[in-house]
Amino acid sequence: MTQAKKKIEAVYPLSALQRALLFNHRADPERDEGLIQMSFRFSGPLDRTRFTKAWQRTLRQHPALRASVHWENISQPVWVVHPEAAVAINWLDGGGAQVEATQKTWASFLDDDRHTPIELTKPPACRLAVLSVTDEDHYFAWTSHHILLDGWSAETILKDMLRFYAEPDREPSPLPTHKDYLQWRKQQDTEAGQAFWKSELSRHRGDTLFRPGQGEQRETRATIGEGLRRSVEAYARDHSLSLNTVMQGAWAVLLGQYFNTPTVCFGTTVSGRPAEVPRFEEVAGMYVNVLPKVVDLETGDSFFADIQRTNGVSQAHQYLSGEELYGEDAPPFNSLLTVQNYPWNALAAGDLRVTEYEGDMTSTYPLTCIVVLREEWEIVIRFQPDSVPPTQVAWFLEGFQSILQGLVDAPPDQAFPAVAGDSLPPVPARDADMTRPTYVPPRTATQLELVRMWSDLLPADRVGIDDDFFHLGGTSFLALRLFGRIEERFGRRLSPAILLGHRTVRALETVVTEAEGTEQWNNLVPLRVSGDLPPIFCFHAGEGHVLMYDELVRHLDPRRPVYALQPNGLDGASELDGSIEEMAAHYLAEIDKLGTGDPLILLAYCYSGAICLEIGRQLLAAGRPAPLIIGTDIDPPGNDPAATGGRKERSRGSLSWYWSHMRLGLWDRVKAQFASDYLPEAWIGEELRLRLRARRLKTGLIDAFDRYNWPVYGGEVLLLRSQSLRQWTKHDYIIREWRRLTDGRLEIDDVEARHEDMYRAPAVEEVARKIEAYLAKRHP
Amino acid sequence: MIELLTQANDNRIPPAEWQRLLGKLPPDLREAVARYRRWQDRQATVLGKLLACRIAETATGEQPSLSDLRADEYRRPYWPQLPDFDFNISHTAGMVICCGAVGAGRVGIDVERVGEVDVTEFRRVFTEAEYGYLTSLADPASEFYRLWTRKEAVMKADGRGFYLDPSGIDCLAERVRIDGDLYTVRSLELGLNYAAHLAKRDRA
Repeated sequence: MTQAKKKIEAVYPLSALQRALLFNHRADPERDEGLIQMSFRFSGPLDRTRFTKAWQRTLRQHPALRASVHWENISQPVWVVHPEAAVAINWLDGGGAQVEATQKTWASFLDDDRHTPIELTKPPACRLAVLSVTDEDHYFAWTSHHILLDGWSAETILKDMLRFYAEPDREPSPLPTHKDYLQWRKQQDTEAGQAFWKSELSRHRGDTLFRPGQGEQRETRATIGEGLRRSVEAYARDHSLSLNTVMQGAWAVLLGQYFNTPTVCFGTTVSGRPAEVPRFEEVAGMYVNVLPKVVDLETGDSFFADIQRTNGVSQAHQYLSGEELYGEDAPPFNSLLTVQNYPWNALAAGDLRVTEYEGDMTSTYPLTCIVVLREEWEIVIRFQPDSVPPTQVAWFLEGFQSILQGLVDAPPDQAFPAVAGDSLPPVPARDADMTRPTYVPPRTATQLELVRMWSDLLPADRVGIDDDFFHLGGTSFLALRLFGRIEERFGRRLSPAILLGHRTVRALETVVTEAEGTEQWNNLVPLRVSGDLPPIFCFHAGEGHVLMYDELVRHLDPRRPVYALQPNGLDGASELDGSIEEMAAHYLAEIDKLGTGDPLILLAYCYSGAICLEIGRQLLAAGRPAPLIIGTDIDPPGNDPAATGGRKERSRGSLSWYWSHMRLGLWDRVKAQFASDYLPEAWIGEELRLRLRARRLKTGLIDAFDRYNWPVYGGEVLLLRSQSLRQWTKHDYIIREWRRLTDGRLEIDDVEARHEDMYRAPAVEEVARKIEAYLAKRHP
Repeated sequence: MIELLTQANDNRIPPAEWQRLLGKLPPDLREAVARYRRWQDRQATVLGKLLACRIAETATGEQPSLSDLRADEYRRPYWPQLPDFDFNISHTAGMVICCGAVGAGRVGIDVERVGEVDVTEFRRVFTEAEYGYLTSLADPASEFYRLWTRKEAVMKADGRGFYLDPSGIDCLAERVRIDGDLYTVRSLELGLNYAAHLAKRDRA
C-alpha cells in the first residue's frame, strides 16, 4: 500500500506585520512595496545542473521557501507550507553580445521584474533568473516577497545554497520550524514586555515625526571614505562599542539637530529570531521586527553606553507586535535606521564567488537610513520627496558623515553628543507651515516663574514671554493645572478664563502680580532658565554687553541655568552705578531675588573680576559662604610698576587725542568722539548712539575699577588663562597680585586661545569644559 | 436632533491635502493657524472649524462661511446668520469632536484623552463632595475624566465656559444645575482612551 502523499505540511496564521504587507500587496500588486529583489554577480564557472539542484535542496531546507499565502474564503489569512515546490530558474539569454549590451539587458530585466507582481498563492513565492555575461561572469536575481522572507533570510538562504552547490551530496539538515517559534512565543511574558516598552517610550520628550508622504520612495547614497571608516572602526574598538551602537548614536544626534529636541525616537530593525531556540538564527522566514529606539541626547558621557545597554534589554522584548507596543496609538516615530553588515563578498562555493550584491528593503516610512558596512561603507537614504525634500535629504547625508567625523575628532574627555552638533551644516528650513514669534526671555522673577510653569506643562520646546499659551499647545485642561500651580505659588486664586484675555507670560504677569507690584530686573538677563544644577552668573565685560556668553551657554551642561548680569546704563535711561561696591550690591540683590542657594557661582571676564571679588567680600561680610569665582583673564588692580608703559592712552577728547587720531586716519573714532563730546543724543543715529553708550560705560567702568579699594579677599579664585595673558609683559605681575588678593588660594588653568577668542568657537568649548570640571570638583 | 462628528488627529496630514484644507479657510484664520507651534494643534484648529461647517450644513441646510464666524463676549464662536443654530467644538490629543443643533438652545461638548492624573492638582475645580468622592477612590483617573468632561460640557452649554467657577457646579447628580437651569448630560463612547460628554439645557 502506498502512503497517500501529504498535501500540506503546515498552516500558520499571518502575523500583524505580514497582514499589513498582504494588505499592501492586494491594494496595488503592481506597486507592491513588499516585493524584494536581490541581485548578485558571480564570478567563476557556473554549472547549471548543480546550481538548480542546490536550489532544490535549499528549498527543502527552508519551509518558508516552499510556502504560499491564502486569504480568500477563509476566516483569517494564513501561510501554508508545502512538502514540495519546484524550482524554476529563468536562464536568460545574454546572446554573446558586448558586455555593455548585456548589462543593459540585465538592467531592463531587473526593471521589468520589479514591476511584475509575485503570485503569492503559488509556491514557491520567489523567482530566480540568471544571465551569463561570459562563462566566468554571471548575473543572478532572486525576487521574493516580504510576507514570507525577511532580509535576514536572504543571508542564510544564499549561504546554504552555495554550500549545497559546493557539496552536491550534502543532505539538508532539519532546523527548528515556525511551530517551535510559536511555542516559544507563547511562553513569553507579553505584559512584562509591554511594561518595558511603556517605560522606554516614556523617556521620549518631543516630537520627532516627519510629515507623512504619499509619493513613491526615492533613494540617494554616499560612500564613507576609507580614512573615516578606519577611524570610526578604531573608535568603536577602543570604546568597546558595536558599530550598530555608533551608527545609532550618530543618527540620533542628527535627528535631534533636525527636530531640535532633547530626545529622539526612531525605528530600528531586529532579526526577531529568539536566541533561546537553538539554531533559530539559521531559519529563513518573516521574523524581522521594527522596534522604537529612544535616545536621550542629554546623557553626556554615558551616551553610547546607554544606547548599547537599552539595545541589549530591548533584544529580550523584540517580539512584540506594533499592536502590543502602541495599542491604538500611532508609533511615536516614522523614520527607520537599519545597519547591514553581512559580509556578502565572503560568500563563495569553490570557484564560484559573489562579487557584487545589490540588496533591497521594504520601507514605507518617509525617511529610511540604511547603513551598509561592507568593504566600503555606504549610507543609503530612501525618502518620500513630498515629506522630506531632497535638500533636506542632502543635509542628512552630509550631516551623517560630519557627525562621524566629529566623533573621531572629539577630544577624548568630551561627551560625544555635545560636540557632534558643532560640525554640522545648518539645518535647512523645515516647517514652512508655521510662523514663530521672536523669542523674548523672561525679565522678572514672576515671568521666570511663569515660564518655568509653562515649560513644565506645555509640549513646546522653548517658552518666551510673548508666546501665546494656546499656540504652544495649551488647552483648557492644561490651563486648570497652570492656575492650580499659580494659586499654590502666588497665593492668588484666579479664573482660568483670565488666560483667554491674557495669553502670554508678559500679560499674565500683570494679573498675577497686580497686588504685589512688579519688581523689574535691572541687571539680570536669563540666558537659560531650565535645569536643576546650580546656576552660573556671568558678568559683563568692559562694554557692558553680555551677548558674548551666548555661545558659552550651548557648551555648558544642559542642566545648568545660566544668567548674565549687565550694568545699569545700557538702556540709556538708568545711570551706571558709580562704584564697584554699588554694582556688586545691586547685582547681589538681583541674584538673591532668584532664591539661589550658596555658594553662588560667578564667572568674570577682564574688568568684572573686581565686581565678583567685591560680591565675595560682601557675602563673607554677611556671614554667607564664599562664592565660586571663575575669572577668564581677569585684571587685578593697578599697573605693573616694573613693566614699561602700562595703559598708554591719551585722554580722550583732548586736542592731542584728536590730532593723533586724525593723523592716523581713524575717522570713525574721531567722528564718534566728536559726537559724544558735542552733540545731544537725539541728534545722532541709533547705531552710533549705542556705540557711544557702550563706550561711556566702558570709560565709567574703568574709572570705577581704578577707584576701587581692593581688599585682600582670601577666597578661592580659578583663573582661566588665555595664550595672550601668558605672553603679556605684565603677566607675572597679574599672577602675583591675584595670589595676594586670594591669600594664595589661586587656581590656574590654561586655555589654548587668544584673549578675545575665549568665548568664541572653538575655544569656548574648552572654556565650558574647564568650568564644568572645576564645578564638578567644588560643587558636586 | 443634535448632530455629532468626530475626527481622528493622530497623523500628520500629507502636504497636498493640508494645502487643500487650508484653502477652505479665510486668510486671517489661515494666519492664525500658522501660529500654533505643533502640527497637532494646527490640524485640530482647522479640523474643528471644518467639522462645524459640515454640521451647520447638515443641520440647517445652509452652507455658512468661516469668514462670517464671530465670537461672543465669552469668546464663544457663532454664526450671526444662523440664530437658531448652535455648535461647540472640543479637541484633545488625537481627537477633534464637534456637535451642533438647530432649535435646541446652546450645546456644549468636551473630550479629554484619558491619562494619569494627580487629582490634588485639580482641588480647586471640584465641589467638596466631588473632591471627596474622587480622593476616596483607589484609582480615580477614569472617574476624574468622567466628572471633568461632564463639568466642562455643561459650562460650555451654559455659554460662559471658563468664566464660570467650576467648583460651584456639582456634577455628581444625574442632571446638573447652574443658576437654576437644569442640564442633561450624555456620555459619548469614543473608546477606552477618551472621556467625552455632551450637554444641553433642559427646556423650561
